Amino acid sequence: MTISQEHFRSELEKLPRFKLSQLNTPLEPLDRLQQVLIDQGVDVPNRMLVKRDDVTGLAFGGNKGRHFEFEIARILDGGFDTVININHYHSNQARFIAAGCVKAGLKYHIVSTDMVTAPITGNLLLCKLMGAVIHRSPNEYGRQVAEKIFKEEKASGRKPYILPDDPFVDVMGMIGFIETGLELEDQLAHLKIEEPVRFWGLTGRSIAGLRLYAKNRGLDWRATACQYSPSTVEDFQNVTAHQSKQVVEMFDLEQSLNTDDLQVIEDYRGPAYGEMDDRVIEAIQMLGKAEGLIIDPNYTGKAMSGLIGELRAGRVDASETIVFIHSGGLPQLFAHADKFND
Amino acid sequence: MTMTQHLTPNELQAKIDKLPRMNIAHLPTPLEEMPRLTERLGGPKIWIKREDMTGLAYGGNKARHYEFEMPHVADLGYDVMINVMDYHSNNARMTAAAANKIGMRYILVLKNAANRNVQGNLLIDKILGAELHLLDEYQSGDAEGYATRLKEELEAEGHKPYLIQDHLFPRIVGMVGFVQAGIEILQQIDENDFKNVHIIGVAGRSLAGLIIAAKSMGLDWKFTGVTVNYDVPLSGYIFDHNKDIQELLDLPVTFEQSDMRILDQYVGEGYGVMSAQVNEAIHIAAQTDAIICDPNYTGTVMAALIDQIEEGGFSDDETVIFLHTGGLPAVFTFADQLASFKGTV
Repeated sequence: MTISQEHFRSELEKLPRFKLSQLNTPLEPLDRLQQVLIDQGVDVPNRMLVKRDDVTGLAFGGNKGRHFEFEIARILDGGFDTVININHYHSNQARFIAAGCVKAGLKYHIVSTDMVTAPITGNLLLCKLMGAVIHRSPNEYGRQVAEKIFKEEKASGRKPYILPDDPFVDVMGMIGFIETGLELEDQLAHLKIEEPVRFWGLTGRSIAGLRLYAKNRGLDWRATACQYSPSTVEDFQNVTAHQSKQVVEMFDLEQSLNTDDLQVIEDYRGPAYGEMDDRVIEAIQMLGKAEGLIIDPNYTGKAMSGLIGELRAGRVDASETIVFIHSGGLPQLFAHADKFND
Repeated sequence: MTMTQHLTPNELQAKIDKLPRMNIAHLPTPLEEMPRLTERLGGPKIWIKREDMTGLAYGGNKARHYEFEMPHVADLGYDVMINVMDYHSNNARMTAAAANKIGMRYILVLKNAANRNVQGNLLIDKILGAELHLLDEYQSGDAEGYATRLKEELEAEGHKPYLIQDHLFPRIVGMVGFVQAGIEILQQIDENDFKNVHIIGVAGRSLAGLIIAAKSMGLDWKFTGVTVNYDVPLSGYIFDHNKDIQELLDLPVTFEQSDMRILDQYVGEGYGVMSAQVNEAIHIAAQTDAIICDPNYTGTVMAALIDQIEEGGFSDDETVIFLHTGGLPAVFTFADQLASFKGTV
């Protein structure tokens, strides 16, 4: 038994939602990149495409423009008027929430952790422009800082909300990409792309949401997730499997994800989160030159360096069509400008 | 008064469709409300045309132009494009991305660019693999001569270089792209039942293209153009080309300088220098509707829009459309100045 598209649509419609993004996002060919790889003697897959979630339109775009439509609605429904978020200096999420809070008229505090002396540029600059109150803190004190803000806001009569405390935040990323699954199924049919299809992205909830959609639709959509930070493969797989069960329950689906439903690759994460190796720089320049397409150093650049590396190593099934998930993150390229000096 | 035969949207589209074209931009771009800015200013309803969402390497209005320019250049057999621009230039970046889309070699001569921080558009030019010639202040005085020598060297090597500044087509193609945008906007405002449309944007070719679209279709839209520099006279840049565009598209009418209300009091110290008023306007747009404007172009237009509404330069029964032409990488070239903004908005 498979779940119908109508079922997915009607379940999505039941969720409260606050419009933030311009959807659908385009699905475009990467024919020129494919040709560059062929010219290098690399065996390429059937077809290479890119899902342009970098153009969702909310403050420089990105995949999370989808997720926070559900999260912001939830915050408004709960009667909260102030959002407190704890996130890393490089965080794209911090920017999306800043934009969501602006549109919804909510006050926003970002506790920006790590790299406390790094210049205010990239995502953090955009947070600043959008009126976020920025508190910079070493990672280990982030929680403490957030709780202090929480108390102060409460004492002044406001109704604050600490974002990472809400378990819904952990599943909404999958939910946002269930909708992407609906989009992609139609777009792939329109382009007459046959299965098998392999989605290529990062260890996160987006690609897990796609895989969950496909599994319940009975589609031969495979998924490779590249790591971008030092967390373990097992942690990601276990957490994803667990969270998928919650989505299965919410959406009345039949199958959750098993730990082996997503291929996870850890060879391309580089020295640390927010730090890139030469392969990432090569991937960013290759995409730029071949396709006029920009990817970012912290996330999509790592995923693309993984795709190029795995193709060169002959580890990608040639019968597959690869769909690269461009999840955005473009402001942060400017925070890494010095890496592109000759 | 002579009677002008107006065109239907389909007839105007048919004229555009005669030109060779390739798909580069994500079209149509959205037309969105700015409800919170509207409420804050308490004047006319404000909408925004999201040309920052064309999807070509950080987006921007010019993605429309290359849909026509790239096939035009390729069809004539050129094998390398040379562009002369300022180091801030959005055109420099977007031409690089568009050239890559057809595998065209691209040489970029950038004025006042030597020893600059690699940031903003310059960073993206680099990532896109443009062959960069970064001129110092002295060389910039004769950048065109520098580019011409490059062109001649390439010709001697057997190449067929297209020096953009030598040709007329790139100067009028931007208007063609915005005749297309005019048809798009007409469709979008019909869906939203707008009255008394008044479009505000940079005083440039994009706005001129919209004027042509409106006049050709017999629409009574109004236009306000905001200048962003002192050293590019609008007559030579736009208005002298009104017959060229009319001829290219075989149109019954064209635009005149009098079709555009021009505001030149928001330039500040000059192109590429962000005034305090623009800095504030960027914060206001970001903190009302999460719209990010750039310091060189759209931020200046936003400053003009806010000031004009406060000063009664628009009437309350108008529907104002803010033309967001993109330019977003420049935000990060001005990061320090934006980050140190102390005012509350």
